[in-house]
Amino acid sequence: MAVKLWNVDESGTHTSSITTNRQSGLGGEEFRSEADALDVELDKVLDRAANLASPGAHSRSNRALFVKRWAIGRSIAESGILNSPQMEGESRANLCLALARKCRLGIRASGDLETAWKGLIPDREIEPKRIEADIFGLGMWLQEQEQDDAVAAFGGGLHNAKQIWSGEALRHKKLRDALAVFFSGYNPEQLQRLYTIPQYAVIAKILRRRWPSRGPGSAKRPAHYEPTELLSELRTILEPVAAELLE
Amino acid sequence: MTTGFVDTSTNMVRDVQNAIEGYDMGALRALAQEPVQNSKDAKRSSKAKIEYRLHERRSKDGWAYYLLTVTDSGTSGLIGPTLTRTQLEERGDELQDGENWAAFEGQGFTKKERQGSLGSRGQGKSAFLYHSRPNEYSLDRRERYLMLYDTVLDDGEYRLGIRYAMPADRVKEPPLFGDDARTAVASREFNVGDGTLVNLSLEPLSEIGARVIVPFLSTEAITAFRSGELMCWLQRLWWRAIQIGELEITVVDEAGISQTIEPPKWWMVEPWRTRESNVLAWKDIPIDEGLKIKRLVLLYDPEIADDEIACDSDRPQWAGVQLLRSRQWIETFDLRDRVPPQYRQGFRGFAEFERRLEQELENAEKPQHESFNGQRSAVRRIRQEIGNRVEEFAQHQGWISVAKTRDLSERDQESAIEFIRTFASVSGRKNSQTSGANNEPTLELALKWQCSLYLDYPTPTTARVNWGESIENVGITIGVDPSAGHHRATASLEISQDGAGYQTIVRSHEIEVVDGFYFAQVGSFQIIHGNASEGKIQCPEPGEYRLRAIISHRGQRVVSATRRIYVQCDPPAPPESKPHTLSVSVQNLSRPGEQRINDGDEIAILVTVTNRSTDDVTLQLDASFENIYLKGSGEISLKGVPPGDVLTRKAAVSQRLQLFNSEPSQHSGIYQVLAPGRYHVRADLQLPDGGDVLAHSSKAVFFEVDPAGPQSDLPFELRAWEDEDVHPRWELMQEMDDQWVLRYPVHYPMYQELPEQRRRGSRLSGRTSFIADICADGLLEWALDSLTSGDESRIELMKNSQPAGVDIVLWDSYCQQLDMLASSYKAERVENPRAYDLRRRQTQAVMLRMFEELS
Repeated sequence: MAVKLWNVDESGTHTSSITTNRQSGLGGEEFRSEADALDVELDKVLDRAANLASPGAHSRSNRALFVKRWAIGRSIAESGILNSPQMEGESRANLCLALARKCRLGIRASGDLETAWKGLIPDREIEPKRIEADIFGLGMWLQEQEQDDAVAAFGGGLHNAKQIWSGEALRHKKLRDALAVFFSGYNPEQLQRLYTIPQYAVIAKILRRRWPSRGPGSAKRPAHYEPTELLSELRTILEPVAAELLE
Repeated sequence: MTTGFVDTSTNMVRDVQNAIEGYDMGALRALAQEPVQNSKDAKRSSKAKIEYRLHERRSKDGWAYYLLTVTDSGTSGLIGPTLTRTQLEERGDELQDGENWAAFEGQGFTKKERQGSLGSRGQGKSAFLYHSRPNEYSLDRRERYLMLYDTVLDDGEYRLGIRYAMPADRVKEPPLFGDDARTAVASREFNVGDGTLVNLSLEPLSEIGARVIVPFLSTEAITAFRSGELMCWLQRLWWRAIQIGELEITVVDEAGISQTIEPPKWWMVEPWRTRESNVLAWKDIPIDEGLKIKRLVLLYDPEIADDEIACDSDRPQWAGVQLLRSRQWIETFDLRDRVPPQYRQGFRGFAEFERRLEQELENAEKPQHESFNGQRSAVRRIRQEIGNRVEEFAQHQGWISVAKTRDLSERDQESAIEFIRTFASVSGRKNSQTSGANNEPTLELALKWQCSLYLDYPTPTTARVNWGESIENVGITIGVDPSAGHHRATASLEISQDGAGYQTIVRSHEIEVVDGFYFAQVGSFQIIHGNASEGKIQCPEPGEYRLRAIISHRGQRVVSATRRIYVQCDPPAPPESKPHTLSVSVQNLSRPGEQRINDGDEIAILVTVTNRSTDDVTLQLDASFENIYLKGSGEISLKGVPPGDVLTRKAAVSQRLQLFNSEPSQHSGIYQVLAPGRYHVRADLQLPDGGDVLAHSSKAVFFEVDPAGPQSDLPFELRAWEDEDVHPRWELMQEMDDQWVLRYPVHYPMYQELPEQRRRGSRLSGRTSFIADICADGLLEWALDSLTSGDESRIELMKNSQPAGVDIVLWDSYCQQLDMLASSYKAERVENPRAYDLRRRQTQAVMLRMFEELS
């Protein structure tokens, strides 16, 4: 399906263009009606994301940013839009760019302005591929867990989540679920310290070393463990590290 | 409105967030970059000194928070008149040079800032404000930012300004002057204007310069301070300015411990001034119309560890060539595509530019000063020039070949492909039978046969048998997969001395393999000097003999297994080697020989473990294909090998798997749903209690994508050097894309002397013989290279590539030679290289002989 990319010109007027991976002779304009229909669907995705991200929608705390990223991922997943027949052969990056533009400009399919979407994704414009990978890809990954579990696994820190995401072998949900359980054994004061970026970076580094993505030691990954076995392994390797970090 | 503050309609909170979140590398880079840049621009002596200091403070109620101060000296301070908002508006927001105070207080972005130097204060004040979080220390949780700034000017004037974003932008008008300002900065309960009390408790400035105070410092900044991340950013940004003495930056923590930022150790001694072999430096590289790169330095040091700060951006900081504009790091060109993977970690570089090119770059610089607009022609040309020099450096370091390569003659190419495919190609596997080793596993398209030959030596710890002694309990096991049904086969037992001329001892009648297994008890045999008879095998000469079981199915030999006996002599001492190795193979069962796996194709995965030691061992095997942990993983036991006997191999994992790109509607058996891409079967071997990985092997699976390279089913492709420089006879190199290439020089004297045409009826004559010779050598090097990680998959691939019509005796000998090369790779290659090289040349000779004799 063709997607509609909103923009704003120098005079501040909202404009739009159509982009598609299909062959097009009119710069995509012949597909405008289906792009308009998709734009309405994207409104629903963003409304749902804003709803999921509330009540911290206007906060810029680390936790609120994390929840927004989770919410956008969950909303896209719930909509099934990425796997819809209309998306066959179309670039996900374009769809993500369209969503990002709508958020950034706060514009609904009707042309009305929408403030509730502001801040759902970072305001700055980055390359479509990176929008897809860093924002929507990460969001889709985070939402595989329920929000509370995801927050527990990463302390509600996006930076912490990216530390785990960066290890290909660590991406399986089993590990995140096990991390959430592992951290539940610590009290709030200890967790506050373990979830800080530098402390969590140490934990992530240990995990990346234990389960490298390639080379020796990469054959058995968290995905291959039974949940209890994985939790036990996590405890074996992380408890001494956590104790050291909490000293 | 707060008394003494001028309010504007600007939503400063949003502006600050937008400004700082526009930094690809994050807010900490901004904090390390912008304040120093401002101080550097305001430098009035030879060196500007900047101090980042963390202060712990307590509120009246006893709760702790932190202040950050960034103080400069050796600068002019925040000079210029204090202008009110009204005065500024009357001037149309235009500022003159030297009106730094007004610029710093400017509401939003003044015209000076838009037009002015890159050290504008617009980004700078945002970098400070962003890290102040008064709302996190107050019942009022509304987002707001706060900073204070004091300065001493050369006429002795002292000022203290306050800026508040809540979210409107508020600046105290007029600022505090003289003693009022000094008293305020020393105050333990300074009311910033809205009732917020800040415990400043700071010494007033004593030197000309400026200080910015960030109260209620963000957790992110505090942790960066403590973890050293802030120091890392400062080093990346300013090392060159520090090195030439333009800047001195210190970081002082709340305990008063001070750390001075220094250049990184690899640039510390300015290595471009020496003539070290690991450094190349260029001066005045022309770009365009008189624009020049003033200096480009590239360095490789294997001791350099990976030191990239994890941040949102995937752009490198050190790992590439840093572009320094005015001694400030702006961007690092990521040149990983020009540096082979194994050298990337230790590769460093930087470039500085002459004045005119710096001006061009200023215009191409993005507002965050962390990248250049890559569309600008100057930036494109710089990238191109630096890329060329990096290639030159890679050649200088011997990472890549110096000369250009050319298209080969068609005949050379054909000869190479024919030869390589004969010995090391999945699609070149023309015969399903395997020979040479005990329990040699084979992947056959329809039926997979396995065979083991069992026997007990007279003395269990050695393969020596004296005349008159017996080998007992000789038995053959035969396995076939799929196991269902009945399969007819014949089994024979043969013997030969030194692998030449096998003589049949026992030939079975037709046997029936039921449910996948059959065991044939052959009996015991006495080894004698004289004539053979029932139960006796004649071994007239002392020496090595090979006993071989052959299984035939429908008139074709499908699998074999061999054991060795040493008659009247001791077997050679086993070479020290990696005692346990692995091999992984993946075969496309649906479309044999095709590496690309299409939707619905079935693959067979085989993981084989080899015990080369004399001891029985139990090992932990982990084998996986993406999220599937392959059946057969777990603890496996392998018998030790008596000295001289063939190695013990076990096909630990043998799994068929169907691959789909979406959930199949109907299916029986194991399958995996994957998106198109490149995936891996991986295997690790460890001791059961863990510890280091003893061996690792992996094999790529290309699902719905084509493998890279024109002859992707071959281990390497052939290319030629066309220049007349002196090159080795051949060289095997792994390129940036991990593809292997075998190069040879077309001006090599031997090649030149050989006729282009080959003789009719001869596979090895003329230049074809040269190509086959280097391909044989190259294949052996390629196969042995992976043994360093205990991966013998390539050796196994070569052994499983038996061409149809090859002399079985020669093939057996070849497989034995490959095994010996693998076994002695670790020790003999080092301790007795002559013997090792001889063995390798012998193997090469056997390959050439077999190739020549193939019809």
